[in-house]
Amino acid sequence: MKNLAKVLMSLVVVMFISSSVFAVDPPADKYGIVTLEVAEYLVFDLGETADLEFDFHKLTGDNPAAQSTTVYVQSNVDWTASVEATDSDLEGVDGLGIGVLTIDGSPMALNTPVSKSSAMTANVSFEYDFEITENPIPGTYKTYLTYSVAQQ
Amino acid sequence: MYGLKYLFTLLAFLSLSASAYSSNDDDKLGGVTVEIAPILSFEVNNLDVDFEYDEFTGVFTDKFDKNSFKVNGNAHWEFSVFAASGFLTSLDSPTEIPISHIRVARLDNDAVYIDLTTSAQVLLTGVGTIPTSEIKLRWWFRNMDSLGNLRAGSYAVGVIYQLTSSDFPVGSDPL
Repeated sequence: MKNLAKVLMSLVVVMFISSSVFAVDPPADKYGIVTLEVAEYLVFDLGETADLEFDFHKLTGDNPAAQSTTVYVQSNVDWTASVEATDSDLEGVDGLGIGVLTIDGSPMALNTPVSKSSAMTANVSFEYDFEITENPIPGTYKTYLTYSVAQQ
Repeated sequence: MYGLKYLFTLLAFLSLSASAYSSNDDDKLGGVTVEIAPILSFEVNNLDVDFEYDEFTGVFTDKFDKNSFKVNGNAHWEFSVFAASGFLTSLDSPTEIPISHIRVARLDNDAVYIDLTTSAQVLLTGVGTIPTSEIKLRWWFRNMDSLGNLRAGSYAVGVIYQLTSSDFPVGSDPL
């Protein structure tokens, strides 16, 4: 009886130690994060026709054809384009309005940024309607333009 | 630590079992069995993997980021890496980058690699403790030109490192 008790006790001890020694669970998963940081960039250039020249003959009354220049942009951010002039009038014998400015066919005001979303190009054009202007004095009228592209 | 516990267990069983037998002159036959259970654990050094990409020049800073893992134990094991989602997503733009553009490989053997997916794919197998200090992995992005114009910003995806083994009892619950 005494010996049987010893055997039973040893079995209890063995089972108790075994449960704390032997691992029956596989290891748990571990978690991380992969991140990619894409840097910003913005590069632009003007087309060849940055200087625009118009000829107007009042006798024929035909308005000169609209002329445009292309702003080429490489970017992965939203950007704005604007056109600035040294004066709101073309300087010359007498002042002459700057004309109608559009960007991609939509009206564009001088010195007012227009938003674009990572577009690769923008077409800026000038048009003149001399039918609504007074009879301009012959001569050369000019102004200087600054094209700007900036990250929005 | 575990070895000492094995020894004490065995000694206790043997000594107490011996005292249970009568001291007859006739021999008695018995047996001792020791069941060694599988033990397995692993660590991953550098759980997070970080990249910087200059899309205009096409240059990666740390194009090959690295991490490593080590295994301790006595069982057969299989090591897998997989992603929580099919895309690296950005918090500030709708653009996504497919995780298939990410490759994970052994640093010392380019031929052993996986293209990241959302399903566990075995990258490496082994038995027991890795004799060297660590197995090094490298991560990199491939075919980024196929993604076109990526919006600037941060993109991220969760990854899971998993060690499995067929040596564990069927139905054992993961920790």
